[in-house]
Amino acid sequence: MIVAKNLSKRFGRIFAVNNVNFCINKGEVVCLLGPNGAGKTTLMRLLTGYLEADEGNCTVFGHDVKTDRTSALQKIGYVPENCPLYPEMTVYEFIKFAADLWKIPYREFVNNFKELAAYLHLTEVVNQRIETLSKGFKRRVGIAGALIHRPKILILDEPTEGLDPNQKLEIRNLIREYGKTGIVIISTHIMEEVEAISTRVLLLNKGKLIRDTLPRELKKISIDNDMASAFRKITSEEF
Amino acid sequence: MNKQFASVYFKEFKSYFRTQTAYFIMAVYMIISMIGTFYSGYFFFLNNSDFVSFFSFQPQILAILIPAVTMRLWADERKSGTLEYILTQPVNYAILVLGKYCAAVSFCLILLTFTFPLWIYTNFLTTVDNMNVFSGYMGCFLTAAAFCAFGCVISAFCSNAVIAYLIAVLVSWGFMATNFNFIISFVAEVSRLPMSGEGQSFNYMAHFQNFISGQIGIDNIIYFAGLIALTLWFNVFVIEYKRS
Repeated sequence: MIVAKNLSKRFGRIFAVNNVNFCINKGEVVCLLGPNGAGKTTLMRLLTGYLEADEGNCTVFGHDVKTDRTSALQKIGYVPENCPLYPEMTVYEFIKFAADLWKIPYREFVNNFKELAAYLHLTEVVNQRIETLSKGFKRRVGIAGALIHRPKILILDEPTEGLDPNQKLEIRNLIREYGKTGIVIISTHIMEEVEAISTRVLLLNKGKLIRDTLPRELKKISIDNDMASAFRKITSEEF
Repeated sequence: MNKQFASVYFKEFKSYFRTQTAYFIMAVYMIISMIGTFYSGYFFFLNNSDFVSFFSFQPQILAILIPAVTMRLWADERKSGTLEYILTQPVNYAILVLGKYCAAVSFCLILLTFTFPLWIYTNFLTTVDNMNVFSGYMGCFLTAAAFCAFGCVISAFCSNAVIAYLIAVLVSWGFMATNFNFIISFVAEVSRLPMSGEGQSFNYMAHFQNFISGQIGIDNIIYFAGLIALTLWFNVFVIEYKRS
């Protein structure tokens, strides 16, 4: 369970995240939705402890991200925006590196690795350097690195950005599958994605959480029952 | 060994050899060291029982080359975005800093061991005080370790490796050349505090000279160990500060 209480983060005078409150439970696939600069990435960075909140706090299964950082992060698998990886490493080396940071015993790593490599279709590229891989493969390697310790929470920042339709479908299937047993939080501004995979939508604008709703409820806001129209309507109202 | 430390250490250490950086630094170090030893150090004209021709130029050479070893440690992580990845793993920042630092220091140790053939060669030419040479090497190693610590901190401040390199050269060179005696006397004069000679214990060169003259004192070890520990602690602080 992730709980955010009065979470705020300022950059200078601008509130990137402004007094955000929510609670996410097991079995939810939550989409952080919002226009560019709404605070989605900042919110994810606050949840993963990369940024420190100016006010409020965030707990992950009871562990405060600020005061009990390592215990909280044990539960999270995070793939940042643009999926940063070490290009000089091979796929195996990167995933082994991630596993070692999580202190996973070797046997468990081998089992998880085999399973993940097969599931994410990485078997044929395990010994290939990351810099030689396509964008889709790189994204999958990043996800494999985040999933190697079987986290309870998976946080993905724009996971399908720049992928072709087949790759998008694969990633969405994975998210849907993972969301059945754990918590998945993704950020996106692709409406089709929100409809396809999310069970809940957190709509952000100018750092504020303006809607915490179900995808079907969000659609109802527009006359033509369309997610994109609803999004435009809400965010333009806020402007 | 701590698994997390080992993974960070080996990742960094291997990354030197994955690119041409390591080989280039090694080649440059060997060329400059040999020029310094044989030409500027008058290797064949001096009695090199204490290997002085080699050691006397090492601080200057290391001040130029060590920043090239450390410049990309944090700066590249920041530039490529992997800093966000690594800082969101359940790893203590001190382990990350130590892993990276130890990888850089290990590389410096390899650099120094490449000059051992010269030591062996000198043993054939003349009678060498090997304990003295060992002490000199220890001084060089601790100098390299201190410059690595400086380089790590500066790299943590920068997102551009070239800028990190230039600042680290300036800081290392400045640290090496600063006469703290002068500073302390000046402070004593202005503040009228009874201080005299305290600056000597801060002077890098005074400690290094002790090493190359074969006098390893506990104060010399404490000086370098303290300097390195303080700088690395500051590195952890910088990572924490830059993150938040």
